[in-house]
Amino acid sequence: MAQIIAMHSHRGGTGRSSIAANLARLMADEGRRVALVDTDIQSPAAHILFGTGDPGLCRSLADYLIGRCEVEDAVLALPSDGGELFLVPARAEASGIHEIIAQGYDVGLLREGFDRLTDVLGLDVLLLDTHAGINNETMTAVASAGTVAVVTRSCPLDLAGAGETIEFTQQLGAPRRTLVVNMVPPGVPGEAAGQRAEAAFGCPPLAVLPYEPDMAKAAGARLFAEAHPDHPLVGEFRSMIPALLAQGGRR
Amino acid sequence: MSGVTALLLHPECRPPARLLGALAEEGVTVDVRTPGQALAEPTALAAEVLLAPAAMPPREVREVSRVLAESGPRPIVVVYAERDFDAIEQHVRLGHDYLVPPFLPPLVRARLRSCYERAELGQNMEELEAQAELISYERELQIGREIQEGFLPEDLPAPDGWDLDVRFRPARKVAGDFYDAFELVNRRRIALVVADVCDKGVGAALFMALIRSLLRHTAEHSGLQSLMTAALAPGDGADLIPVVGATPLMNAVVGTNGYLTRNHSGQGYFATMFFSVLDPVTGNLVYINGGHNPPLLVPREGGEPRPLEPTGPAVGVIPDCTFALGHAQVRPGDTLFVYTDGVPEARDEQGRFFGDDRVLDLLSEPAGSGRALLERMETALRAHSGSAEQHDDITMMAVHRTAA
Repeated sequence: MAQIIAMHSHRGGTGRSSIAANLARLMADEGRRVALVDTDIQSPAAHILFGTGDPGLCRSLADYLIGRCEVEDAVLALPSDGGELFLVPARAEASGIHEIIAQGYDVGLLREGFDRLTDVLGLDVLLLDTHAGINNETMTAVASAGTVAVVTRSCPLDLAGAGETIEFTQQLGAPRRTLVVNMVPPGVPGEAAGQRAEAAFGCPPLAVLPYEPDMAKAAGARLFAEAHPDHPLVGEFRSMIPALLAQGGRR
Repeated sequence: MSGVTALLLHPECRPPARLLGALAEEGVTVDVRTPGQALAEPTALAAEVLLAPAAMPPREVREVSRVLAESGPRPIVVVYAERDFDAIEQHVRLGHDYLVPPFLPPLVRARLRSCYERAELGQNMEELEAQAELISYERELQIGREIQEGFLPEDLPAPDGWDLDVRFRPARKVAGDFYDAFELVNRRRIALVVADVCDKGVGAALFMALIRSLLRHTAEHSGLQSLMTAALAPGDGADLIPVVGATPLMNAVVGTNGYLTRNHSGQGYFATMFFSVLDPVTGNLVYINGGHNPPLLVPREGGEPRPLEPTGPAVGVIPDCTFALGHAQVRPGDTLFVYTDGVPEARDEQGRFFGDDRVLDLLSEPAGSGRALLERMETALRAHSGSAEQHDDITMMAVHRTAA
């Protein structure tokens, strides 16, 4: 049975997609069969983070949703040391967004696609990246997941959305919620940032990660964990994995 | 002119002797009465020709003619005069014919014959007009029927591993029943509809066209549903995410119900319907049964079929009512039988119903194909009905999953 983890953040720019991509790679490198599905059709990122180039020539999640292919046709196999890593990009950069917005798609297809991917690829872990805030894809991802990893910065701007995040995850059957505090600015003690986030979300953070200029520089050129496998931040990512997978299950 | 009967009016029952003589010579049977007598005992009269004195006011002549027409054909009216010919004019204006002296038999005969021919022509014209009207009405109905056929699917979808078949027999030229089958969600699902618009004939047929179009159009154009608009209760969880096909299904039925109750509530038309969305890969069926007689899921191993009970009221009756989704699974070898109440309510020559028990009985054996099941049902219906008139539209749909 695959563990399904949805990555969520209330606002954009929290580093959610970067963490998702790095976690996917690291989980696979530990010998698992992992797929990352980028459900952020509005602002896709995963294929850029993996440096696969524009998926214009291959299929994407959007193609599946509007009926151009089966979901497994949109799977890209990516390199991994030890396991199997798959990526389903959200859509091609040049096209798709107008089409899918104008045409719409049956909301049940996402859920069915997740199930099919899990079966066809024999997955251990299905990682779902989402658009910031709440939309159909995010709700479906969260409702399908056993664990929601909420990525937030520790600033008041981000923490203001904590109430809404708690409410909507509870409404969706309260899958296990874990908190990742990211991009703590230089000069702010990690402990203080973690406490602020804990006060807002009502749960202790799984990890408190500093703002890392190297990661900001690498974004989009090469996957950080691949370029800097020995970087302390990559170590932090690795140490999150056991807890993320501890109870996360499929519903 | 022999065989012709005439009523000859005269205020004192003393018509001109020459006229009487001429009529007798021509073989016309003549009944002489005063106008008062003619009106007092109309049933005793049966005349094809009404001969009245020109001095008699046209109104009174018409009254006698009307009374005669009540018990027989409308008579030819001919007025006669021996003098005071001016009185003839008022009758001529009304289209009455006239006879004036000399009342010589050949002249009387010629005049009566021409009157007769004219009357016959008039009658023929009336008949022709009535016939033409009937033909035009029939033609309109035929056009209606042909147009209505365009509101039924030309072909049934034929997904691998499935066998769909239908029978559709309207009680009249046009029907209130309908069925539909079409692909949904990028050909991943098949929508199956059987519905019965209340009433029969042209009114029901017009509403059939409306309801079928609303259902199909809405289903085909309602993929994207905002999940955020759903009323969330804590813990709805995974159930909140609809299965594929549930959104177009719900939107179609709720949308059609809203449209009908908003725009047509005064006309009193509504439809019972079974609208389902089938996943041909898994056999999973999600459906709304809006007050329709429960379709029966015939298990492959035989035995009692499972009824798919209503999940909401008939469509077009209650504004803003709630429809729930039903779920079922069609396993390999199972057959879903969807039908309208014309099946159990088919009557035999003594007026007895075919009955629900008979339907159930016929479905207690599994079917090898959709077609075989419908043939079984159709043969039994035909044997039951014999030469009895069909009272209601009959629609049957069988959805059979080929045994793996």
